[in-house]
Amino acid sequence: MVVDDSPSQLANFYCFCSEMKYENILEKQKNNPLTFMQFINEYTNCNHGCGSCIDNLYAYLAESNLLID
Amino acid sequence: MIYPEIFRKLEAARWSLEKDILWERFNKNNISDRHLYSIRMNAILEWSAMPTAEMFLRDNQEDVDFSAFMSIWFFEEQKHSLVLLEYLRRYAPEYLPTENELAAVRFSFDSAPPLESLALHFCGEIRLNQWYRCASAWHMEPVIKQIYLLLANDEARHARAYFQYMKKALQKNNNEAKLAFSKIGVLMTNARLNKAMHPTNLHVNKNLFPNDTVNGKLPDPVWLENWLNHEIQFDKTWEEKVTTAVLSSLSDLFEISCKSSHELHHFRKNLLTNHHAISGAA
Repeated sequence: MVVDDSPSQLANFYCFCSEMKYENILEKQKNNPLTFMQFINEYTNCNHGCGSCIDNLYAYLAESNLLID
Repeated sequence: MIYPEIFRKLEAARWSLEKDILWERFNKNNISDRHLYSIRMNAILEWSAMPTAEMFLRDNQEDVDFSAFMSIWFFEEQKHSLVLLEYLRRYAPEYLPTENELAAVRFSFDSAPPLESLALHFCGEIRLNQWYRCASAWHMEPVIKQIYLLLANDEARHARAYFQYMKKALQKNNNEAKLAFSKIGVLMTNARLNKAMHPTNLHVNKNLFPNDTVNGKLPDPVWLENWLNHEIQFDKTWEEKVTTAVLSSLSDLFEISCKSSHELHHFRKNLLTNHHAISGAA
């Protein structure tokens, strides 16, 4: 059995370290787009947190056409 | 099978007890007897991963995927105890617990429904993540501040892994899983219904009742409550972080919007009504 964590399933995912749903994190990127590294530093707590969400957020931004490498 | 991917991610994030702790930054002027006492108690509390791992392995004989994950979880939780013991060994050996004090928190847990145990530990990891963040903020000594943040991040990763297994259980056994997860979610987000709020406060062996909680086996059974309320001051703001994380995750899992324990309770009531209607019809 495969657990579906495809990007389209991630809007309601909750980041424990940023204390926000992915869709709320994405909203910040929509309003003020940053490069991915800046995005992680400015809009999430992933760098000082557990890091579990970084890959997922990358995929989620890419799927939403909001990824700036 | 999700164990291989979880293994890869947790291995990539793993810290080294020797190399990643900034031991050389220790500052003895920033640590008090109360701080050291709490490190001693948490070292013992983390040791209780042992009976928990034993329970999970016993109660999940049919689930080799989850049982394999237990090997990582058990290793990392024991390491939490070890790093706290190592801190005491280096800087305050008089506070080191004895082997008997560690052994006291290893006792047999009664069998429990696996799905409820899974959700209980998901909620427990979320809570520990916040307890340790709060503890890191409370401490002033740089090494222990860093250690608690490392532990907090580990607990968040564990919560994420447990959540993956909850998703898998939901795909396999939708109704039963929803009923189990919502039951535990209500209990773990509503202090009025349940003062325990963490697995170490729950009664787990009816033959030993009332001496059958992990906290009750500590050398100082009332320490945890005192530490949370009067020392690190795990107050309403911190509590809300736990509740929001649990409810948001369960909302995602159940594909609902649920902002309070009461709403989750209502969702569960509807589930039960439907469940009974279907059972009655069959």
